[in-house]
Amino acid sequence: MKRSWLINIALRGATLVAVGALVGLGNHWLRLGVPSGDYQVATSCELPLDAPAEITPHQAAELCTDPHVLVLDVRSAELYAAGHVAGALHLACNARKLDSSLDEKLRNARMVVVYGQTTEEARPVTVSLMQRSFADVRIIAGGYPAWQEASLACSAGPCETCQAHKL
Amino acid sequence: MFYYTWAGWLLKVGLAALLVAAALPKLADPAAFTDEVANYQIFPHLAPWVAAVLPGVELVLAAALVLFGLDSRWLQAAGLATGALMLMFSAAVGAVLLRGIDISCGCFGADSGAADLTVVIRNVLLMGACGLLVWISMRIGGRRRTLIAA
Repeated sequence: MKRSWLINIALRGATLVAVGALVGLGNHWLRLGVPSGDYQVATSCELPLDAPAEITPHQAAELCTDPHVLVLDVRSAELYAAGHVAGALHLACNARKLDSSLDEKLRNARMVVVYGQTTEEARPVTVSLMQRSFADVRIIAGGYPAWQEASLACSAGPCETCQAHKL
Repeated sequence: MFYYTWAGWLLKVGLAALLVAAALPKLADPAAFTDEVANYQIFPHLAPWVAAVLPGVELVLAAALVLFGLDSRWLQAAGLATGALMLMFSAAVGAVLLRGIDISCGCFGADSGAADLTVVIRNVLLMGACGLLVWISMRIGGRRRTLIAA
């Protein structure tokens, strides 16, 4: 095997890898921006110390007027259809993959407010969202029953995003 | 030469299909793939960059494997780079096994099986396939150049 051949092939291989790297970075930049330099590395399987803050239904209702706040319902599709926080998107806690449009909405949101049937039901989803660098995540204390008790705005109807989430 | 050509095309297309199958799920859910890369605990803070670059490299290598002819030096380069990529993956999985870390391999995006010895063996076999493709390409390329010279 000639040395010149090996150098020639290695240089061409490096060129292909460099082009691939630029394609990958370009795709990432177009879709999600520059790769994050402040990626939070999970160091434990326990709940992080900065677990999501709980907010009252009234505080959540005030936040809901902000278009950059996304409200997520993590209860079952049936409970969501029976009634949910007005404008909330459905994301069941057993969803294995995010629909790309929801993923984009999550990335564009400045804050994500999550609720379940109870506070504890929403917690695993909030931890997962925080590990994915959706930094500002809040839980509605008491979940949907607390929202109803406070007589705040609700909607009803089937979950439009369930099909996309393969639930 | 007939058998070399068929074997070469089979390896070309097979390796390209595998690279595309590996790249697409990573492109579909970059956040999940970033977590998979970070789980290897090898420079985890670089995980977003690795997760961004890797699918692009896999797609470009797949395109090069399919588009360049069997006698092309670019095909040999793509085969060599794919083999190097498999070597890098094997080293990463090997490092995880040695440290006793139980994670998903992330080879085909999220939920693509455990990072275990099977993955290392599969990657070593794929490295062999890459080596065979480069050898076949050299044989065909060398023969063609001899014929042209004559």
